[in-house]
Amino acid sequence: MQNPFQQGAMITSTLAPNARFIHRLPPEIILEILKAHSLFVPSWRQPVLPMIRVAHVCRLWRAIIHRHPPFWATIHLDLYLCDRMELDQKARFWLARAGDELLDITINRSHTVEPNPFWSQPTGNCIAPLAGALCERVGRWRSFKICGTPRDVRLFFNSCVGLAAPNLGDITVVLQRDFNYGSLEVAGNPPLLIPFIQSSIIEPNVPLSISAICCIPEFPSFGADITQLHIEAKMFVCRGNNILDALKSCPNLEQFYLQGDLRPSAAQSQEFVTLPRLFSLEMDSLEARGPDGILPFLNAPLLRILSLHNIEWISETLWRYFRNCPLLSTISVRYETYTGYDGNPPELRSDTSLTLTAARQFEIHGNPIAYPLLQQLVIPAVEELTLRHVPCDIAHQLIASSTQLCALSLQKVAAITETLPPILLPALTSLKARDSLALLGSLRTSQLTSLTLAGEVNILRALLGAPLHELVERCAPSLIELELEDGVLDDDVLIACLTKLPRLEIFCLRRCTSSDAVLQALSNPSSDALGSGWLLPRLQKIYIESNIGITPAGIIELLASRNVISENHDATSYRTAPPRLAGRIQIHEEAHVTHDEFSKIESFGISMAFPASLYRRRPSGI
Amino acid sequence: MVNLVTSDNESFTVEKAVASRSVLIKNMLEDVGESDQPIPLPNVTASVLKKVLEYCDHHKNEPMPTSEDLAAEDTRKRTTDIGEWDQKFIQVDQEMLFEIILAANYLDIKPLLDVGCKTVANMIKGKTPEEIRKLFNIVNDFTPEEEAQIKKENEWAEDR
Repeated sequence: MQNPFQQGAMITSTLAPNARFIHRLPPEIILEILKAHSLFVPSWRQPVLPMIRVAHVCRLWRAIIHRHPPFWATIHLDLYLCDRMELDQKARFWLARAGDELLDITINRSHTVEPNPFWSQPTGNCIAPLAGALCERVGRWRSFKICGTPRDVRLFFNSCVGLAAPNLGDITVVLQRDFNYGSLEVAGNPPLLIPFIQSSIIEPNVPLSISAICCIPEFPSFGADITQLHIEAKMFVCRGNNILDALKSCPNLEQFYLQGDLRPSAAQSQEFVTLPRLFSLEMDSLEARGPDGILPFLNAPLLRILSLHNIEWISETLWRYFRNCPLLSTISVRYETYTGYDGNPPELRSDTSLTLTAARQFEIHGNPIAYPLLQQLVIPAVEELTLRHVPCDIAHQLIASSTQLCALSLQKVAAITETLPPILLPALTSLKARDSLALLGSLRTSQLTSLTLAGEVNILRALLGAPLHELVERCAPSLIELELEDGVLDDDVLIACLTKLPRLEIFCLRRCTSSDAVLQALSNPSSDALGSGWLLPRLQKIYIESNIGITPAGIIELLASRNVISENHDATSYRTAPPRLAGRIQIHEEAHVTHDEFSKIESFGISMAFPASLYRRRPSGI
Repeated sequence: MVNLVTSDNESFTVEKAVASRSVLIKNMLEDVGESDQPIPLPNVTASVLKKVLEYCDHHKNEPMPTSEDLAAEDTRKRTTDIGEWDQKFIQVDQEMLFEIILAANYLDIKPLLDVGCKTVANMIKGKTPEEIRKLFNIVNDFTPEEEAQIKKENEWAEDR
């Protein structure tokens, strides 16, 4: 039989001249076309599957595709189909064509297995042959993902015992519920054994990342290769001991992420686990605290990133991390769902201050447990500071210790009656204060370019005018971005402030009491001989949303003035015409907006939320 | 200026910057140095060269693809995007499209070859093997044994 490449040439010579254009292309160009075609496949689909269809066009194309190993290096196997096809044969077919390419293997189950008396072939029967076929090339595995029932996954890994995978850089295991064999709560325990052995090949040193979803992995013999460990222990309970055991077997771990429900251990080992290379520790939504948790038993002297979100921590533990991890540069501690400690919060045993010399980013969502700790912290090198639910005096003390601060965000910083001394913040460029206006009077900033002032969300109670006016008096010339939200604002005060912000480019006004008078001031250039006459002459973006006093007519007047002029300006007005406005408009839900007004506003090329009043009238009209 | 002579003996005089978009011509010019000698292009007809030179002229001020760019293509970092001007440029009949691809390959103009290949790939996208055969006048030349194997592979292709 002829080689398909030779046959391709023969077809070329026997076809009519006007019908053989593509046959003139040499195989290497057809390959380029097919490679380009494979890129049209969305990333969530496997590129090789459409290639199989294209391979059925003719013998030449089939030969080109079958001889290009990269097309076959991504192997996707669906356990759901194991009663219809022999998956090990499919795997061997792919492996035979993948050559020496590194392999990306995914085994999943596209449908959940529900109790089914007509289930002809248990999945287990196909797992061992499939694992056998794939494990023959375990040395070429680059990534491996398996999603299946605990039974399937354990069966698969039984075939991997004693194998080394020197090129494997990424393992993902997702345990799914098996309705035939009980719940994940049972299946998730004991931990899942991942039995590869440590590679004897030193170079190349492939960093190995493990993701375990709905299970706790265990690495008896290749933990030293693991540099990243991501565990989502949701949907089933796990024990702190199991996590600590997993960590103990990964002495070279650099990054660790843990999310899930942690339950008290039956017998806590109380043994410390030291991870000398760990630089990133992130934990989210853990229920256990104190001696049943993970934090008290970890030692990570090189830690640089500590992120604890929605977990029950205690000051004593945090204090130990702050004291023992001198390289900590990014700290984020949040506990939004805190509802009070059930009992007396433990006292902080140290009464001396602690300086975090390396901290650059510090975020804390405070609660009464944290206050003693925060009162003793000094953060002199912090550049970004976010404080939520922290009393004003503690916030003041932390800010005052941060002389290099560039960005400060305050939320619900409670006011106190006493007057606080001024704080000089010469490097501060961004300030956000939501429901935290009391502290603003103390801040002395000269380089501020971005300012957000806001009251409590959706409650028009906070008086924004006076603090805004005071701040603008201090930092007006530099301000480029101004956001005002959820507050009472007198039009005259706001206009007076805006006149002092000639460099402002972005202006946001959301859920405030301001009226069309502000927009009118922005719409009409005054006959000021000194400048262009425009209020905010550099304004480029506006976000005017849900302000009770602002009407569609006011918006139209503003846009008609700014956007039409900047489109149609003549040569003489070129220098003074303001930039065309972009941004977003949303009229207050109680305001009346007609279809004509809606269309008119959109015609100025600005995004506008569909008005609630038009929804209400839709049945009769649209 | 550079003088190019096509297979049908037509001469084109173009700027060196335009001709040098072709790595083949660029290397020839570097080999022969300053010379008035015409450069023969025996694999390209005048109608195709005219089209290719239109592309080269439009892109003459762009940086040439580096070896890093070419390596990125091999690691699947390349995109399916075709620039707006290129899309209009490549709106030609099938015969001219494949002639441009062949010429780009011969003259070693990788970006033009890329545009051509992406365009053909776009034509294939979403089509069945039968539709592709019809589009390009390709004969189904599989043996019965191969058809049987293909049937099995088709089952695998449904696996996702």
